[in-house]
Formats: sequence, structure tokens, C-alpha cells
Amino acid sequence: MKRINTFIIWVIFLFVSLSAQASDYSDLLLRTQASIYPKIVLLDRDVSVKTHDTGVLLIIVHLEKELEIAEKMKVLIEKQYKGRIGNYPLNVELSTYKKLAMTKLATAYVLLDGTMEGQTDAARHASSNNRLSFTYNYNSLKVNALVSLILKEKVYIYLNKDAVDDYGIRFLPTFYKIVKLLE
Amino acid sequence: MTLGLIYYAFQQLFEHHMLEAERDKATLILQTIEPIISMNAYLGMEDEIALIGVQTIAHQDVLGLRIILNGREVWSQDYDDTIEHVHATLPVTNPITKQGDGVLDISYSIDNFNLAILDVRKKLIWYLGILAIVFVLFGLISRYFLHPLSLIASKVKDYKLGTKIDFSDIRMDPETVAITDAFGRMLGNIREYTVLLERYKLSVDVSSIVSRMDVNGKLTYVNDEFCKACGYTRDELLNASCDIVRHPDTSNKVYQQMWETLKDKRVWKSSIKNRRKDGSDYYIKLTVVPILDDSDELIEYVAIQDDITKIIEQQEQISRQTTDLTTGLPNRIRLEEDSREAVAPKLAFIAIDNYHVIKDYFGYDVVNQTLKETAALLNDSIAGKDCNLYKLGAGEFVLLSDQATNVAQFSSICKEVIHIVDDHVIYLNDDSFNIRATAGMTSDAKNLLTYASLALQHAQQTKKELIIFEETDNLLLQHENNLVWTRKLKHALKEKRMALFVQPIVNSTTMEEEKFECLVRLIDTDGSVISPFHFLDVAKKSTIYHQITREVISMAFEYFSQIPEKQFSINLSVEDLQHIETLDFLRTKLDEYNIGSRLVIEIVESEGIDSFDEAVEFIYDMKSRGCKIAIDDFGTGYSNFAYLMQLNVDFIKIDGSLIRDIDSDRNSQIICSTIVDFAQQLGLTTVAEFVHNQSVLDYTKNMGIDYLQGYHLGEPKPIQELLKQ
Repeated sequence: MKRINTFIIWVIFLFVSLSAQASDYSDLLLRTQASIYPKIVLLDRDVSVKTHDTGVLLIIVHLEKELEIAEKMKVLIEKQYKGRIGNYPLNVELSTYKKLAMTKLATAYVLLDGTMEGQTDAARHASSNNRLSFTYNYNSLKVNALVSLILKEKVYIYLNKDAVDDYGIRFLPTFYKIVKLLE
Repeated sequence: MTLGLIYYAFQQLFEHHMLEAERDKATLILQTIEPIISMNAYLGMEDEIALIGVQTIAHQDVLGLRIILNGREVWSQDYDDTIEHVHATLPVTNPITKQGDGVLDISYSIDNFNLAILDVRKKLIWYLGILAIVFVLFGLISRYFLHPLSLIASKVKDYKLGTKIDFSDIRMDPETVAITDAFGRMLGNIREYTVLLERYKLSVDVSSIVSRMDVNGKLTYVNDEFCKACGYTRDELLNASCDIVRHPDTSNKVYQQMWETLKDKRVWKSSIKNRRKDGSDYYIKLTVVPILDDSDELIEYVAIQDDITKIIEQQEQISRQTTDLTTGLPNRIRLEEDSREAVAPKLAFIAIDNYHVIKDYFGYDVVNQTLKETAALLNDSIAGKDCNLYKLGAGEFVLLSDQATNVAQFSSICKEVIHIVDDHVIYLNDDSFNIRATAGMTSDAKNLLTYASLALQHAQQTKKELIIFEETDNLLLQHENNLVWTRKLKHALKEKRMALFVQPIVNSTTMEEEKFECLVRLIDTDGSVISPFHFLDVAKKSTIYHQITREVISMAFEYFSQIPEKQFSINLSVEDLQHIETLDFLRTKLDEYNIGSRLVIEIVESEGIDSFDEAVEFIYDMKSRGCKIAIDDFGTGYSNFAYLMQLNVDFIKIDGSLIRDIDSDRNSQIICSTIVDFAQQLGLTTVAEFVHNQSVLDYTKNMGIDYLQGYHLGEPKPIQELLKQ
């Protein structure tokens, strides 16, 4: 029975993964993530030490070929938050996976689809600097990214439980009540 | 009524708290969902909020829920408003800004509460019913058992002393019997103690002076003794102030102190002087006791008094006997008492050196002034020191100290006192003179007076201001000699070996033996006759001297009562004149033999008389009994004519030292001639002593001396020989 369950989960996982690859980027999902991810940044209790002089810096990491998607997401965020979140100024910047190491340290990273290696490096970059990492693709949590979000009959926020200790992020306790944990 | 109140109070309190508990439950639900709702609201996940709303409303007691965020109802569930419920609300707080973003409103069913309340009410009514039954039963049982007790209480309440209580009509349970027995015994004890108290009161009433006063000092009770003591009747005393018997001599301070003590609710004790109705004095020893009620408030005062008038009078008499009249100082009697009681006594004789000169030169008034001033000086100089001052013989004072002062300190005090006396000047109207003092002291407790006296004599002889008696001194040898003589005298007195000798006194005109001078002799154990020259000084230092005097008086009266018509003379010294016992003995003998008209009292050493008034009084007394008075050894010492006149004497016995060589010594002739002329002018009879040969006899006869006495005319012989004639 346990084997059957594991099999079903893998089938679902493959289906979702394939469907994501196949359908490129969902406009609704992008909008939802653009709306929710910046707010989750403020749920980090140590956010005040991770803000630049300019405030909260959110870097969207993308492949060179997905610049358009990244810019779209940037516009969506800027449009909703109008350069301010909570008590902080909000800046959104873009970076390719290749140049990420050379860019300045952000408050949080949003990882769009990329190579496995690129996403892994980006996630390591974020975790080693105790910075949040969000992924567009739920499957990208496997490369040690921290938070992702999917849409089904409602919004599901996933938290990579195994990665929490690596990232050293301390969320507000209530956040843990509303997320689903990826184990 | 009580049970109704209990029910009402319980309902009010219990139901209110239970209802609040239901409201708390509703609030707890809201507190549980609020963080999740607020977080979902923050993230904009309204679907999740609706899901929470649905899950919450699924609770059986939650009737409805409204979730209002940013003024907009995000989710709500209506309910049947007829179902009894409570409302609870809770604000929704933004997890980041902590500001209110909305409110949660829940409607919570209280059906369970109503069921619980109904159940509790039923049980409460059931228990209260049981309690009411228990109360009723308890009341009935108590009434049954306590009824006899209330009967006993009502009987005991009206109990009066002397009456009996009848418990026979009371139901007698074992407990009731025990209680009535106990009351019976208690009442018996009360009767017994009351009788006892009455007897005590009677005892006090018959033995003491008893009165009672109200708080204002008015007499409310006086016993018979009180009336007897003060001379007022009971009617006069009752309602009168206690001051009615107050003596004017008793100071206001005493009464003020008494009232202060009594108002302070303390017992006051004192000895005071009161005045009788007839104005006479009486002394009481008074104890006043404040009587307080149960609240510790003063009700009255009880005064118990003892009449101590006789004791006070005796004390005053004793005080007079133990006080020197001139100086007011304690005298020898007091000194002897005090020295006996002292633990480690030190004693010093202090003598005014030139006392006799002062007396003879200036007279008695000046002497008295000198004694008084010296006494005051000495008193002032020992003030604050462990010393007492006494007045003894002629010009002699004594200092006595006890264990608080050692010998060195006492010696220092004595020297200081002597220097103060030496520096003192006696001022008279138109004259003045200095006095000096000499002292002898000892710390030998057994021989205080003797040793100090010996030391004084030695100091006077050696012209030193102070001599401390040392056992190594020759003084001790002298003292031992004195002791030998004292023992010898005591034995002689005990063994009746004191003999009376008489020497004739011849009328110079008729040469008849008209009078005989009584002289004392000691017959030694070997039969030899010892002259008083050997023992009189020793005897004078002790009480033996007075025994000897009394022995001489006794023998003289006994023998001369058997020899009619012959006059006889007895020598009395100054010490004798000051010795009341001796004088009383003489008076007794005069009364017994009634031969006072044949007695001549020869006062020897008359210059030593200190208390001149007492001497005059004695002479007056003796003369009233028919006795004659002679001054012995006149012409020597400092005797003068002035006090001869004051003493009102009958005879002057010219001293033997003036007579012995009168036949050849011009000075003696002049002095004797003056004395004889003076005596003749005063109407006094003269007697010449020491007529030891014919030449002296002739001269004295020719001089006009009335009586002659001496070995040439007759030696002293035992009285028994006179009896044989």
C-alpha cells in the first residue's frame, strides 16, 4: 500500500512537472506569486538586518531566454506594491543565473525556471546568506529552495521543511500554521 | 427564608459565572482561529479564510460567525436568532503591523449551559431540602436537651445569698444532675467564702481603723475604731470629707502625692499625723486601696489604719534619750548601738583641747555656743561621707564610719575635720577666740571606745593632732592593765567585796563628829584594802563605775538608816549626774529609807558639768527631798563662784591641795580666806579637807572654816566600826 502511494505521488509529480514545462508560465500563478512572495519576505523576523539602504531588494533570477517573464513579474510586483512594502521601500531587480554570483546580495530571491545546476547554485547562494528563496515552480523546491506556491482549488503555500535549518530563517509562528510542509 | 437566600445567592453567583465561562469558550475559539485568519488575510488568501469559517461553524455550539476585514465582511454564517446564545468578538491583528485589520464576531449556543444549570438547580433544591430537615431535627433535639439548662440558668440568675435553689422540678438527665451538682457545690463555696469574708471584715474592723471613701474623698463608711480614734460620731463623719481628721502639720504635698497615687489606681501607704475632734494629735499608719470595677474603673477607696501614736511617742522618747540636748547630735547610747551594728567600724574621739578653759573663762552660754558651732562644723565637714557624728562627754565628739571607708580614708577625714576645727573662730559680742581639736582613732571593732579614748589621751599628752591606736603601743599595756582592774572590780561587785568606809567631818567649833563622808574601798581576795585611787579611773571608762556608785548609795542608805542623827555624804561625779539609772536609783533609796534630810550629795569634778540646766534641775529635786548639796574639791581647776550661785549649793569643800600647806603657804592662805569670806557672804557652809596635823587644824579653825576633815581628825574606817560605837 505504501508503495502504491509513493507511486501515485511520483505520477502526480511527473504530471505537474511536465504540465508546467509544457504550458510555460501561468499568468495567474505569476500574479499570485507577485502578490504573495513580497509579503512573505516581511514574515522573516530578521528582515530588518537583511534590507539594503534602499529597503527590501527582491531579485528575480532567470535564464537569459526568460527575461520577458522576469520583467513581467517585476512589473506585476511594482504595480501592486508601488515601491513600498510595510515600512520598507521595495526594489525589484533582475539577474540571470550566470550573473547571480556577481550581483549584490538581495533580501530574497525569486527563482524562475532554469537549469538544475543554476537553480541549485542560486538556492545555495540564498541559503548560505540566510536569504529567502522563492520558486516559480513547485518542483524547484527539490534543489533546496525554500518557499513555493501553487494554485489548485485554492492557493497552497509550500515550505521546504528540510531546508529551513540550512537557511536559518525565523518566520513568524503563525506562518507555519498556514503553509504546507514539504518533507 | 435562609434556605431561600442560599438558593438565590447560589443562582446569582453560579449562573453568572457559568454564563461567563460559556462566553470564554466562544472567545477561546476566536483566539484560536484569529492568528490563522490574520495571516491569511495578510497574504490575501481569502479562500483559506472562508475555509476556516466553514470549519469553525461546524462546531456544534457555534451558531454563527462573521469575519470582517478592513471594513468588509469577508465571510459570514447566519443562524436562528431564537436559539439562546452569547456573543463574543475579537479584533483581527495584522501579523506585521500589529494593527487591527478587522473583527471576528461569534454567536455561541448556551444550550449546554442551560442543561447544566437545570441539573444544578435540581440538585441544589434537593440538598437544601435535606439541610432544612437536618436543621429542624437539630432544633428539636437541642430544645429537648437544653430546656433543663435554661431552667437552671433562670433559677441561678435570681439567686441571692442566703437563699436556697430548688432544682427538683427540673428533668434530671445525667448531664443535668452533673450541672446542678456543680452549681450546688459552687454556691456552697460562695457561701463559705462569704462567711469567711465577713469574718475577715469583722477581724479587720475590730483590730484596725477602717473607712471607705467615694472617688471624691467623701467618707461612705467608718467603723467603730475610726470613731474612737478621731472622736467624731459616725453621723458627723459620713458624707464628710476625709480632710475632717487632717492635721494642719501634714503638708499639702503628702495629700497631693496620695491622691495622685490613688487616681493612678495604685495602693498608697504612709504614716501620717491626724487631729481628733478635740484638737489632740494621733498618728496612724495608713494604707489606702483603690477599688476597681470589672472595667478597671475606680469605684471607691478603702482605707485601713493602725493607731501608732504610742509607737511614735516611744520613738520620740527614745530619740530624746539618744540625743544630746545641746547639739542635737546622737549621744553615747546611740553610738554604742550603732557601733554594735557596724560591720567594720572605725571610731575617732575628737576633743576640743581648751574646752574647760572656755567654760570657766566664758561661762556656759559661750560653751554651748562653741559646742553647737563645732557640731555644725563637723557635720558639714563629713557631709556625703560614710561617717556619723556623735556628742559624748565634755567637749568630746565621736566620728564613726563603717566598711565603705578604709582606715586610711578615715584617718584622712579625721585630719581634715581637725584642721577645719582649728581654723574656726568663735565670735562673741565683743570678743573672739580660736578652738583646737585633738583626735584619737582606732579600727579595733571589739574595743572601739576604749582604744580610741586611749589614743586620744595619748594624743593630748604628746600634743599631736591625731593618734591612731596601734596594738604595739604602750597604750595597749595600759589598756590591759585596765582590763585587769575591770575584771577585778566585776568580781568584787559580784562577790560583795566593795566596802563602805567613812571618814568623820568634825564641827570646828564643837569638834564633834557630826558628819561622815562615805568612801568606797575594794577588799582584795587576800583581804587587803584597795583605795579608789587605783581603780576609779578604770571604772569610769566602763559601766562598772555606775554599779560602784549604786553599790555605795545602797550601802550608805542601809547603814546610816541604822545610825540616827548622823549626816552622811555621798560623792557623785558628773558622769553620775548624767546617768539616769543612777539618779533613779538614788531617788528610790531616798523614798525607801526617808533619810534624805541627813544626806549631803558631794558633787565632784563639777567643772565637767556640760548640761548645766539638768544639773540645776537635779539639785532642785534633791533639795526638795531634804538633801544638802556640796561642791567637792573647790578652789582647784577652773571652778568659780559664779556657778556656785547658780547651782544653789549648801557646802563648799575646799580642796585638800589648798589646805595641806595652809599653815605655811601664803598663797593658800589668801585663796582659802577669799573662799571663806565669799561663802560666809552667801551663807554657805565651808569644809576643809586634808587636815593632817595640829598646825593645819589650828589654822583652819582660826580662819573660820565651819567643818574639818582629815587624817588628823579621823582616818577612813569601815562603816561597821561606826555601827559598833
